Amino acid sequence: MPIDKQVASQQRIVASRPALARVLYIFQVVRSYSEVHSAAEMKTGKEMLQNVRPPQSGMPAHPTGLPRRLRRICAGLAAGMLTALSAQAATLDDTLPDDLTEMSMEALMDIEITSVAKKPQKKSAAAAAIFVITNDDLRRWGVTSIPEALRRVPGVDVAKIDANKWAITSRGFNSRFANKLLVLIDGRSVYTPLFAGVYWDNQDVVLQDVERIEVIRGPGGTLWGANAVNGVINIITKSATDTQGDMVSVTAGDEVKGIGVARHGGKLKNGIDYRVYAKYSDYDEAYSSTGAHDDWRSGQLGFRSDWMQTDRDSITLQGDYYRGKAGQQVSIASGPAGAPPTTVNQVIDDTETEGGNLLFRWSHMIDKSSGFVLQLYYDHVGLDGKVLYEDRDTFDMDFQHRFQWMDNHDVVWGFDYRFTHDNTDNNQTFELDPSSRSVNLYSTFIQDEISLQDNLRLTLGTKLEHNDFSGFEYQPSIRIAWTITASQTLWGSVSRAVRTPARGEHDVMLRLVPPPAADPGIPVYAEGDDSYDPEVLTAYELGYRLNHNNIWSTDVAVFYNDYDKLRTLDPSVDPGPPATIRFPFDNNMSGETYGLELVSQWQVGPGWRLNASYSWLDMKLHLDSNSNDSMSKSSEDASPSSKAAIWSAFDFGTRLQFDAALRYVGGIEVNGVDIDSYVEADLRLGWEAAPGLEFSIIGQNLLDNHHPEFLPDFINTRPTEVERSIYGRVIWSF
Amino acid sequence: MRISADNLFSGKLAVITAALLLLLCMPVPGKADEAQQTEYRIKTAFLYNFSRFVVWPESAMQERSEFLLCTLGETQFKEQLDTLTGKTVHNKTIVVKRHSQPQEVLDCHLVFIGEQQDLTETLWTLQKQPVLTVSNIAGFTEKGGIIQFKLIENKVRFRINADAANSAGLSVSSKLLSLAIDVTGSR
Repeated sequence: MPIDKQVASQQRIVASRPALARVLYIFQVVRSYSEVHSAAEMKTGKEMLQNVRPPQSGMPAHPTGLPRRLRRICAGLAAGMLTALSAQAATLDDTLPDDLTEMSMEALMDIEITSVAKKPQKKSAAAAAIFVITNDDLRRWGVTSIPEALRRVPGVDVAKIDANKWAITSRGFNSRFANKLLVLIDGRSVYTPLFAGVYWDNQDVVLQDVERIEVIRGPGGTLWGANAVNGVINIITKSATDTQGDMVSVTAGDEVKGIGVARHGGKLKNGIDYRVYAKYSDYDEAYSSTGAHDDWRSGQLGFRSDWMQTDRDSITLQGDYYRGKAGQQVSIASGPAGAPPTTVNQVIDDTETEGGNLLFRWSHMIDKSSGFVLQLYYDHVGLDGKVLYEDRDTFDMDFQHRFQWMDNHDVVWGFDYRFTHDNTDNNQTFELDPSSRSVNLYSTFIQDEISLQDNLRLTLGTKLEHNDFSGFEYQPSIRIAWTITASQTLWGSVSRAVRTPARGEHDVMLRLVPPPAADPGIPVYAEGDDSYDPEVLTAYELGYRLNHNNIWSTDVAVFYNDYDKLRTLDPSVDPGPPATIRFPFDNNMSGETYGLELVSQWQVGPGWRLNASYSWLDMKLHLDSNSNDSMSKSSEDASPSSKAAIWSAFDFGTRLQFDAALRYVGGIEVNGVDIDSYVEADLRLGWEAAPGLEFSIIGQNLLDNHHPEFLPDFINTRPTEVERSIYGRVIWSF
Repeated sequence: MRISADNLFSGKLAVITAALLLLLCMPVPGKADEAQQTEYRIKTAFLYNFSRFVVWPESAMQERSEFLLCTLGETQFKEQLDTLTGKTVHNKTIVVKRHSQPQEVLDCHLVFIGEQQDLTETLWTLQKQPVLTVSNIAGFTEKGGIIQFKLIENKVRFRINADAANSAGLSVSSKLLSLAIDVTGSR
């Protein structure tokens, strides 16, 4: 990959798009993260400018007196370098080369100046653990979906349950219904309030049009509110201005049977940039000795238009529509309620999904350090399976205003209103009472980022929200970042986050498959409870970042999370008639998690980058003395205690790329069943045959024919195993 | 309603918080021009690229031994621009000059026009002259200027008036045209 392209992609990452509403915080985090480094570099840059003379003058080129050759190497590397640890690296390498005239115009056009412009006096780093996946990473990792892209992120568990179901979480508590993660696509929240988790198979984007995926581990509750308990995943697509022209991409192989994408980007007479796309994906079934029936396909159409109405106003309108069909085998305990004998049937269920959204966003820049963003969206989710059924409409309005105050305060405040209405189709297994419900969520927040010293920054903030299930909740946080030297930052934070009850936890009646020991004649239910409370987290985090001359960078984060009122299922017997066993949702568990996450990047040479990530996690859950729950505590074993990845991106000249990765995931135990640790390898060979035409061949999970990763809970779908997958891909941009 | 302070703002933490709050009173000296420095470093690099990707008529090149890159009036370019001094374009060494009167820039190959300038007078003076005019001024290309910088989503982009370039006898490379956010006039 030519150096200027790399620079372009790395600069793009830093680009905090002012137009992102709910994402201002992340955006701040990313930006300030990069600032530490860029601010430092900026200084050297300035010194440079004062010291540099025309080459013939023979003056020493650098004030620090580094040998000129070394310096030149550094400059070259800086230019060629990608984000520290890919993503991180992206932000770390925000530094501009000393001589911008050596950059291509394309790269120059990609340099965002806001990141500095908005808060020029700040010289410290983000006080949060953040990892950024760039557009270039997505291409070089050869992934076909968002979940696959998250596999290398430290602190994030990604495990496949079957071909179309994932368990994804950050910092523990993994499950198909993992409920402590907030996922946003262009500012639109995509977790379902039904169980506070994500239907990952429905969250699709054209990966080539993704600008970056930002992953923040730890609570983001102050600015986002509910559900940003253990982390936030923020998927940001490119502006239509940056996707002009046509692109066709075809991916085909054994497991990935086919993915076709066509995108057209253009410009209307009145200056509005737009793109429209269509995508169709067809995935083969995974491995199961008795037949998996979990193949799935989906089709999606969408558009995005961006309009810089004036220098200060930009307007975005975007929307998507999708339909899909995802196979599974599900065990259903049936028979009339309470009437023995209860039978457990395995049925093949093709769940049909349909959904769409429309989002409008207006960003207005008041001056270089202040502005506001107004965002409105409508989102529809439809899911029709033999067990799960959801038909949901959501309307969300969000406003954020940011301004500077007293020279050293950067204040963001805002409010959000969300209305969501669902309809469900009750069946014998899954029932909601009431079957249709509207839920309102109001929230407001304020955050002040204060520069105490040039190198010391304090961030104070709180969010106050009101939800229909638990009333008012507040989520304050305090963060501090200390830029020790130009290349080192130390940060720490204490925050409180709340995972508000999901609709299901209050209203569901879910018929469980009875445990083998139980009398099969007595039906078993997980039962929603109106007194179910939010789960509460107090999180303590500490982090350190080092960026050594853009050649070596490391980012370490440690955390201690203190949870209270975690969800439990305490059995109770309802003598009936008919007699039933019920597990009402309750809050009888507390717990602590400890962890360490580490990422490093080494720019070995101009065309070779090595990355490594490692995460360690320990979970200790404690049932209250009055609890007889025999299930919930087991989630402490459902996340691997350690996980590591190492990957390499190598360029043979400018046309040929070779990427390799090795991933290790420790053993886990899900609901009493052991799943072994595994090591997998991914490879990619890419060839840029002509400008805009790229061929690549990709192998994933190469070391095993198949391996299991996770098991379902609550809804007994048949787990299948991830198979080795090989596919080819052609991307043609014209 | 469930607001409980937990242990977040009590005990030791409260003391620390209070201490930190005290520190708030210490203002930090602003360095508001750093952003502008970056912006103008980028624009400097663009001016250099414009010089490379525009071809001047023989006459303009033969008469002069140096490539004159000028500013007219007050601009926000500071020493960044001087880093171009000594670089070569079209086999000529770049010399940076700062002028205040339109008549003075008739010799220049490229002139960056400051925002305070009277555009009508300046462009009238420079019309049909082989001078590449560049400016930040809104509507610059509509008024007959050749290249206008425009910040889009905080990135530096530019617009080109191809007709104005033609009438100045300049030939703008297709690369430059393809990168412009819009091109007015015939290509």
